[in-house]
Amino acid sequence: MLKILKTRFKQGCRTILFPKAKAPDLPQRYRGRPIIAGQNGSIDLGKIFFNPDSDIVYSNDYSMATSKREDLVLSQEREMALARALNERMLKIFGRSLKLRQVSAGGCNACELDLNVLNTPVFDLSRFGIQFVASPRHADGIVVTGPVSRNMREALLKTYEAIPEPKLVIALGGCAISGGIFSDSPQASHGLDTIIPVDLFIPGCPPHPLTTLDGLLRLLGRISS
Amino acid sequence: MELFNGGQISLSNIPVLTQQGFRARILDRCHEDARLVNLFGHLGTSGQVRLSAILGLDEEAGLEILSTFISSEAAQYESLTKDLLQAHLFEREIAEQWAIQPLGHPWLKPLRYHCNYRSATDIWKNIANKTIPGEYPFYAVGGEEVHEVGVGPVHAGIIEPGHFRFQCHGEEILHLEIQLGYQHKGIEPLMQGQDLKRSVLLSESIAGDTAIGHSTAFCEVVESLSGCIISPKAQAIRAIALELERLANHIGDLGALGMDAGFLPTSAYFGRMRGDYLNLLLALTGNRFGKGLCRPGGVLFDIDANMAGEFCLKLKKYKEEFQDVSDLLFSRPSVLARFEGVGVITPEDAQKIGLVGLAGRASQLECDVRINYSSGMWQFHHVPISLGATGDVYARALVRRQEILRSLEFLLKVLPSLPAGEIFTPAGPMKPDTLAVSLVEGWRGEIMHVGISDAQGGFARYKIKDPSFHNWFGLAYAMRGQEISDFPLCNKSFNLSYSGHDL
Amino acid sequence: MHILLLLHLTILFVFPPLLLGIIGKTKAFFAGRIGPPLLQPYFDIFKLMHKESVYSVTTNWIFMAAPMVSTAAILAAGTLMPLADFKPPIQFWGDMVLFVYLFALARFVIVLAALDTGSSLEGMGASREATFGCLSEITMFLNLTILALLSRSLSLSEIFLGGLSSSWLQVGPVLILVVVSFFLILLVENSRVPIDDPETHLELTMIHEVIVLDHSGIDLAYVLYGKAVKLFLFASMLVSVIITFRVHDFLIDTAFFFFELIVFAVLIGIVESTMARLRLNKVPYLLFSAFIFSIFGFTVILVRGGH
Repeated sequence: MLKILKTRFKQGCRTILFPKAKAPDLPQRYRGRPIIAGQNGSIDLGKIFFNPDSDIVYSNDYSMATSKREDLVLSQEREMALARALNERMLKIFGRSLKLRQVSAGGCNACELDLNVLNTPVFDLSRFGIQFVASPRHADGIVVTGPVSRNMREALLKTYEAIPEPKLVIALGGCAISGGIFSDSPQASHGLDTIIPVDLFIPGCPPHPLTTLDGLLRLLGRISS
Repeated sequence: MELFNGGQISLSNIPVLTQQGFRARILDRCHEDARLVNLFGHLGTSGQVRLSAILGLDEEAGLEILSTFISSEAAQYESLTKDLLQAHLFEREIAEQWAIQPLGHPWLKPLRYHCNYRSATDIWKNIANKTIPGEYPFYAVGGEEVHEVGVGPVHAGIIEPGHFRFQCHGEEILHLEIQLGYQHKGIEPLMQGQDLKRSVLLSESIAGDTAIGHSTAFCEVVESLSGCIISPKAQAIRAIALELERLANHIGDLGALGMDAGFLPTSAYFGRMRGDYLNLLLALTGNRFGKGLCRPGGVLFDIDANMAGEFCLKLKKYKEEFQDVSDLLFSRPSVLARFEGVGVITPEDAQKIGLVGLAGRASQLECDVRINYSSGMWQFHHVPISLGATGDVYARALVRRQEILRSLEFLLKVLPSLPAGEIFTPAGPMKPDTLAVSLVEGWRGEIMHVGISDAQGGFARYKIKDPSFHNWFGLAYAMRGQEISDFPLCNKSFNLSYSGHDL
Repeated sequence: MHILLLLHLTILFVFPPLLLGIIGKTKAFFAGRIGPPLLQPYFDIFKLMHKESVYSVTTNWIFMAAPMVSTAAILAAGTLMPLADFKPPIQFWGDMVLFVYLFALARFVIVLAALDTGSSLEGMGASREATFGCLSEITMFLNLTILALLSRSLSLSEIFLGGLSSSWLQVGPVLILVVVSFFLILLVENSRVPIDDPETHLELTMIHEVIVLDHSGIDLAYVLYGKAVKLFLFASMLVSVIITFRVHDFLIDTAFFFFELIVFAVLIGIVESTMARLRLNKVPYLLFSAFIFSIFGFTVILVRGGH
């Protein structure tokens, strides 16, 4: 028992103060939001792979989550429209207590692991009242990762139907948004929004936990643009 | 015909035997000292299916390769599984991919639920029309007091999908059958063709937590086929990244094991410590899982003297922290009570099933690619093998702890003495009609990639083997006679990849 | 008089979820994180009241009625239980028997609802809950009998409002046995570590959590709330046995009572953070030890002639 207390005091409280304080700095090589200035055309955040050997120049900005699929297409004409808070009625219900259910629909496991990280002390989702629950009946929304493989399609739909109204759907990762690197395969879909309506799109491969956290908090109105 | 890790051989030089000769040779060698490392099908030029087997000779660091042809009219051959258990999943995979029937296979069931690749009649009806499990015949135990529990595919936690069918009597598991295939995305067909830039990205997504392991294996295959030898510095950086990946995952596993045993303090600390290693990978590659680092011809990111020094300082601190927290976990009697004697696999069974990697080493099997088939940096800096004695959850946790300490030692030796030089020279075109193999010790175990090039400079066939392919059966087998409430702990002690198995 | 009654009922209805919040904060402290706010259980219940319910086609009215019946039974038990200096709204000779059986009724309907779903996982959880319930109920009865003998009354209000005032001095060791036994029963009945992990996501290891896996919306709100009230009542009982003296100043006694409850909640949080969960097949042993402690205590009391 004493050993536990000793270790606890040595380890301290590790939760970052974001969003009240600035998020910790990300390393220089981190590939965040692409920069459009000086380039023609547009970049679709849901379809790129965030790999270093492409023509894209990346910034250090981790906030990339949006409420609409179209908002993921960056272009020079307008500023990126980050995720907006839910409407007033939903905010009243979910603002302080949001229970989510995760469905892995063919992902490679990177998105799942970085989602799990949000429950650890550093990011500590529970302080916002957000928690991952065991049953879809207990949940208010699903977080889907992966390109929705053919074999997972029915399980995903059943889980979606088991969630009581009102409910949310969050697409996490490039594969969930557009099928990602697997979109050519007949075994994968072209994006979650072709199957069920989506309320929040979080791009990345995998999205950095700060991107996910930022997206969730914007959805709950705890961060405004 | 013998190959080494990272070697290549022209298709025409691979010995072709008759079906009986093929079978006899494999059985003879494997009953002596060899191990069936791979067995797969590919299309020959005449439209016949060619079966190739790769046998691993761990003592000699060599691989033997041999082939046979199956005619498309007969589309069958005598199964190896009844005499060599290690072949069971390979034959099921061949049956599904090429519609070739292995006669006498005791457990012929679908694996990933997709239509075969040569547009012949599938062996199982309705394989792609019905939602899985479709016609999967679960092994059932009869009796009035026996009940069946099915868990999945959607699990309660944040974890990949898979279906577990338990036959239970009260709380005791009589039989567990694991049915996967939910994550199947059809990666192997996507790897074919000439778009190598896309293929390397695919290789990073075979199993996201093993991005470095699989992408290293892919790059080694391409480098072997194009005769490219990467610089010592690139080799060192790949090795550093692989060990960082190993560290992050093992620490995460120890935390999860603590949590599943209900002991919460260490899970929080280990979870955070895992984040520290992922942040090192993030600083090195710009991605927490190392995606974007390995490319054919070397690596894309360098470690300069500053970064090396910084990493060393941090790793020394992390090592101390780790020892504190892991002592806390391993000294709790209540935790040890949950770990010991649960999910035991004896060394004999482990060898029969063909377990690889961590699970194999916990059951005293000396299987570690860094030692048996060393290549790259591990030829110069040896990592001693970590073996467990009892083959239970405790042994698998202990092996992880040992490997963490050994990886930390390896990193602290390699980082200060990084060789100088270039890190990347793009690999040239690949030799046509050649087969290359590469073996990497991913953190779960032995990863093997086999690439067969076509005449246009791309891949005609690409075979991926994740260590989970061998080990899922080990988990199912270990659970016989155990309590059903111990299953999550046992599952976590293996921590196998669903996506790596399903491809 | 009526004001006191109203106050008593208000505390009974409003205070319990705060105990869950305190446990949550303590566990968060030990894990080195900020953790959910103290009022989180209230937010959760409020949100659930605004959600619809989803029912599967295999269930019928039993499933729909069970959470309501269960929570109603627990609240009814609460009206029998004295808190600090408050006399309970309902009291009569033998009300301690009704008290235990109201909890049994709550458990019974929840287990029935779990069986109604036809899911084998919930069936497994139901059988575990029923088995452990058998063992814990008899021990609880024994403990209450010991207390009844010591205070010479079968009414909870007389037991806990002064009936035990001299017992610690006279039969201290017996009360220690009762307290330990009761603590173990509290952990079992409220599904805390080391018997069950309320935050686990491993369906095969759950006992209490798995049997409520299919409830949604307002039903789940009832379940969550009932759980809080049950913990509150058990904690109150235990705290009233440990600290039996009363200053007879209303405010001080009540404040002190709440203080004890908070300390107790922190203690549960500490136990949950520092102990690993037992293997499921060891839980009956734990329950048997609780039973043996009670038997010893009971025997001593009988030998002493019942006081």
